[in-house]
Amino acid sequence: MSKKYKLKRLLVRRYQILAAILFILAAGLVLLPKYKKNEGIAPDQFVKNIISSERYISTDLLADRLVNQDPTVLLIDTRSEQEFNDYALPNAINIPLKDLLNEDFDGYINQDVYDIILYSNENFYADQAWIISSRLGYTNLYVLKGGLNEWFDTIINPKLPDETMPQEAFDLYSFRKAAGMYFGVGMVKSEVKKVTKSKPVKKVVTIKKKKKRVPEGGC
Amino acid sequence: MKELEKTKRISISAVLFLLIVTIAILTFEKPENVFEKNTEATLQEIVSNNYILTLSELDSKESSQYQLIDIRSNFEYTKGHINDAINISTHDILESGNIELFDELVESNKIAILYGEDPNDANRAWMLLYQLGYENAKILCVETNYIDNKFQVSNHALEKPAVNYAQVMQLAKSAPTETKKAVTKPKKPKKVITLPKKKKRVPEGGC
Repeated sequence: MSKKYKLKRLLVRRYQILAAILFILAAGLVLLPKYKKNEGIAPDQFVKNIISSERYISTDLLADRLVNQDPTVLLIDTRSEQEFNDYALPNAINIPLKDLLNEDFDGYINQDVYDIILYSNENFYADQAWIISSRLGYTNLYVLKGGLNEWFDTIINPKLPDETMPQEAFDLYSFRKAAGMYFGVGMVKSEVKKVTKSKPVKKVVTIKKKKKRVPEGGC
Repeated sequence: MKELEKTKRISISAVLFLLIVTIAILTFEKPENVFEKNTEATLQEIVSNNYILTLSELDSKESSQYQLIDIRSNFEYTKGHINDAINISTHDILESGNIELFDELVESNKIAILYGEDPNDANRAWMLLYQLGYENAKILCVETNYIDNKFQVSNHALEKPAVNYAQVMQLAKSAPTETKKAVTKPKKPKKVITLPKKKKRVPEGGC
């Protein structure tokens, strides 16, 4: 009898009990996001990204794309403003590493139209910028392998290959030489030295005129 | 009767709901590794440059204060490594045994000093560890290479411009490497052969 009574009492309050369970579960949801604190991608994916060398672009490839005026290339200089003002690659945009996450620059980095190529003096800072952006899940970002130091070694001052090297080395050299000229090596018009050899003086052979001889009297 | 049907429906849906929730909770896997630091904090640390150690700074520390970690591949490590260094390559850092090791280092207040082929190599591992919350990790700013088959460690000047770019460009512009000298070939003077004209001889008086 008492059992039945209890059940009845429980049934009367069934809505309250159900509501209470839902309420507790809802409260549990508040605790859940604690595990989802991960900003951006998960660590496992992150490791895969950082050990992959797909992000590096060689100076030769970059030079080739710039010379061919590839409209999808956008260069980003991650060095300080001062260094950027001293020298920067043509048409580069300066985003100092410390301002990488600045909202003003978000439009440049978080996009999928351009191939963004990050560079610095080496590729240390550029790589750090890349790693942070990659954690946020940004794509289309590349790093100039070796940075400006490599750029100057290969494009601006290419080394003449040894004579024993294969033809490819020479082809590469002449490509670099030509690319270097595109980027301004030897572009100032130096006075074209007109070496005009002085005209050799005509040798004038003066032939002694024979004096008109006064007709000698005959005999 | 209607009331009973309603109760049935409610209790069935409530049971189903609870079932779904319990399944969800049971299957929920807590991710093994979670980033502790967000990108903003990481960026601040990067800019501070506190995480870079030079060889001389390493020498001034006692060996009980740190643990050297070689983040190159196992193959490279067996060829040669710094004394007392242990090998944890970058892609193995997240393995549970290695994570435990880093936890131990934190507990014993030891600095985890990372090195690789160059600082750039070590940087990847460092950024991973820092974002996972291991603030005791640092980068040893060195290059490792082989000279006469001997493992050598040398200091690396980080992000140092090899040349003064602006100056070099200026020089390169004004002193072109290959100037084509416009040599105008002098015209060869035509050889003029002057034939001595035979002079009309005034008839000499004959006899």
